[in-house]
Amino acid sequence: MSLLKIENLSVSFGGRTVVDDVSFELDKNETLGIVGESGSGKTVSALSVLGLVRTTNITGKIRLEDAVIEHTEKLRGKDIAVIFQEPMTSLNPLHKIGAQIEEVYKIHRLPHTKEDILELLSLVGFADAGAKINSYPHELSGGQRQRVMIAMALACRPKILIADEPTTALDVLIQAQIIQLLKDLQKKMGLAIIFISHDLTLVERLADKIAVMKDGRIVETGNKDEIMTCPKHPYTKMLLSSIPKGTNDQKRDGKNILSVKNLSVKFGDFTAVNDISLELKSKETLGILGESGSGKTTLGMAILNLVDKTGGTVILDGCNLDDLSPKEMRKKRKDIQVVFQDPFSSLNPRMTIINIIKEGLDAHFPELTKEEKRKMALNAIADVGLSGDIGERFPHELSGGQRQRIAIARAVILKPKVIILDEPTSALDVCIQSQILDLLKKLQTKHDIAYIFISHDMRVVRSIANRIIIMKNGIKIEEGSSSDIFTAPKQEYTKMLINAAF
Amino acid sequence: MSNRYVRKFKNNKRGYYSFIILFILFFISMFSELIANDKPLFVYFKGGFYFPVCKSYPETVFGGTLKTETDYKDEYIKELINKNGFMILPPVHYSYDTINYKLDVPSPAPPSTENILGTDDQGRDVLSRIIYGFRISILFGLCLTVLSSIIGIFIGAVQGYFGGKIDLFMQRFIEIWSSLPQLFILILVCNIFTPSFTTLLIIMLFFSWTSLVSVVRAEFLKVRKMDYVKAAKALGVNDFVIIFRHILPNAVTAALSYFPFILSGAIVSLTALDFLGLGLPAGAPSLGEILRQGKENLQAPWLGLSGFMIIAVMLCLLVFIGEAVRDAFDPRKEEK
Repeated sequence: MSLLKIENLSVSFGGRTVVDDVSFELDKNETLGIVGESGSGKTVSALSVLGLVRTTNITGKIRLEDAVIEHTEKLRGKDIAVIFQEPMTSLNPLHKIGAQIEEVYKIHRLPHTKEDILELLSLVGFADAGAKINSYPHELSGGQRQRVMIAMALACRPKILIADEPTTALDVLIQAQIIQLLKDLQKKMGLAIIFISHDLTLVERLADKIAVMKDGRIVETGNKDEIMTCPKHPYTKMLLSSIPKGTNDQKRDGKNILSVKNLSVKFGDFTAVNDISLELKSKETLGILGESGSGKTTLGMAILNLVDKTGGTVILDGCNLDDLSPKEMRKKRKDIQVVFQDPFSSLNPRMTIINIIKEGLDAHFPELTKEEKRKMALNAIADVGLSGDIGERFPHELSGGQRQRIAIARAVILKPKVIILDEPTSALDVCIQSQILDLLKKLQTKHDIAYIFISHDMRVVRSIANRIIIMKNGIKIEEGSSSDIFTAPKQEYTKMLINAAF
Repeated sequence: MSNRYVRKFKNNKRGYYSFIILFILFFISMFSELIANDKPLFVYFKGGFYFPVCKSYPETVFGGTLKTETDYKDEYIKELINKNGFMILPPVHYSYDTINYKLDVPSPAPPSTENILGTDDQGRDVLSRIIYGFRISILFGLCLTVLSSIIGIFIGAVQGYFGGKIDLFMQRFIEIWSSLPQLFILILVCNIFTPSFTTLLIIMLFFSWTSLVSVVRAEFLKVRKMDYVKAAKALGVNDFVIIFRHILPNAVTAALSYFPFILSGAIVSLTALDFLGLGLPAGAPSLGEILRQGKENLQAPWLGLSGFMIIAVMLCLLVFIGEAVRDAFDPRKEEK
């Protein structure tokens, strides 16, 4: 007898089938990982178990300990509890933590004492539960809030915990802590966990069984080791092969194309970037790794002169950018370009693709004829692996991956010497991510461009960067070649990051 | 993109038809002189063609004795013309300032076959005054809306794009400016200057330009932080091009949806000033003045009712159009 059994679950919204004939089982003490790209129906299939999906078009049977459940909403909290992705908005900012946990008991009319709440808080890893019980949500960090959410979910001692991307909004170190916490709780309470994530490597660390979803269907289920070592379905194989692997060991000994000396950026009293120096050789990829708030993006924007620096110099191709007038600076921008994280906001929604790509040419080569510019733009579109007929379309007609290719084409068309890539793959699904990484490598050899690759993702950076800088709180913690950093890290912080990510 | 907005606008049937009706009414009212006039549209006299609507002819042309402009309502002139030719009169035989001296009853006269909606207390035809009043209201509203939008968008753009101290000071100035008691100051200023269409426009512009500033400023603040604006800066595009190519088109859509509401607001304030007798110069056709006469002559309900009806219809149409425009620009409302 399995604890939870879902049989032939189908969910549709307005005629579109989102979950199609999904069945799975879950035993006590077991973790099922559901993996899929965005829009694959993984969240909807788990939440419809609790009746949290507002549609009448749900078919299929849900069995809890062999009994068929008709009104699934009665299971909420008591038998099955949920934690969500966004801990920042899941707590009411006006109430104390203790009161919010107590509310769960009150709703379910369970007898409770203050000791119960304290015990829950220490269960989820608060050493100072007595003090935290009177804190407000804004006094806690993201990881601590997620712990409070877990405490609330566990208040009624549920049998099953649904964790919907519980660590996606968190930094890599906190992410590892939460994963460890879930493992400990499972051992202590005999919990069954459904862990939903887009990240196969994360699921691998926690799950016993893995279900891979695509377009609303489960394409493959099996034990973790089966799936990870010998996947059968081509989609699973592709997911596995898309995980960025390997290191870039090539040494680049070209001349310095960009050097940054003692760069600082302050916003009021807050120092976002503190005295950072770096060198970039031509054709080299320099990875900048750091958690959110480490100042890595601000560093990139300061090098680009899009954020005013408060100290230091940037020397691009032998030319100190501080010595340039605004007009000369605009001319110089041809040599240093940028690609942003979110391809949805980096393209003007009112311009056609070809006009977006042509914009740099309009600014720097006014002497070219319309026809020449058009030809160059079409070449650039072909360069990033898209067909020319895309040129007359608008950004909203393209997918995320296509848009990111257009953003890259816009930067590459000016034949820059340096491109700053600010988390260029973080908003994309894993398959698209690996395609974009391959494209970037190809363009680098073709056009001899040096990259500064800013990211929080250790695997991605390891696969593309020759050298790496680790940043924390605006300070450079460690710098070294990619292989040195990952095989022989010197600093404690770097070691922690690597342990958390792999 | 713009096609999508037009499609969404047309999807709102009530707003779309209101727009068509208002447009037709406005178009017709542009030719008020041909609809309501005390001069004939065309005179055929002794083999000659005359167009009194466009050109003034002295009485001597038609065999009269006076050298002043012909009074075509004069029975003697009528007889002269009809004997030697004919004249075609417009559908309404009165202009907004023509006084009907041949009333059998003291003015304001009730509706009759000659004055379909009756006359006001000076014996002027109400229908004719409404036709001209409608035109002047809409024209005034349009001028005020366009001018205050241009000023508002410009100032909002400056504040939003440059931000910082410029934004801070201008924002405080606007707060103080818009907390001034508008109506009283308007009354004061209107008492000092002799109001005319242009002076009234300028005076009201003093206060109405603030209405769009905050919207445009907020949009600029939002859009200038977008990555595509940063990307354009990184490409080396200059500020002027960034404002006009990247920010303005994205920021102004929000402002556009305020357009019909500003227009109806402008019409209402003009009517209010006219009602108080502080608006357009005496004698000018204005809806507010008809309303005031309605208030002063409760025994003549055709005055109040006619004025009320035309204002109610006009404002309803504008509000319906406004709702449709607002929905068309609302990204949360998907096309059906």
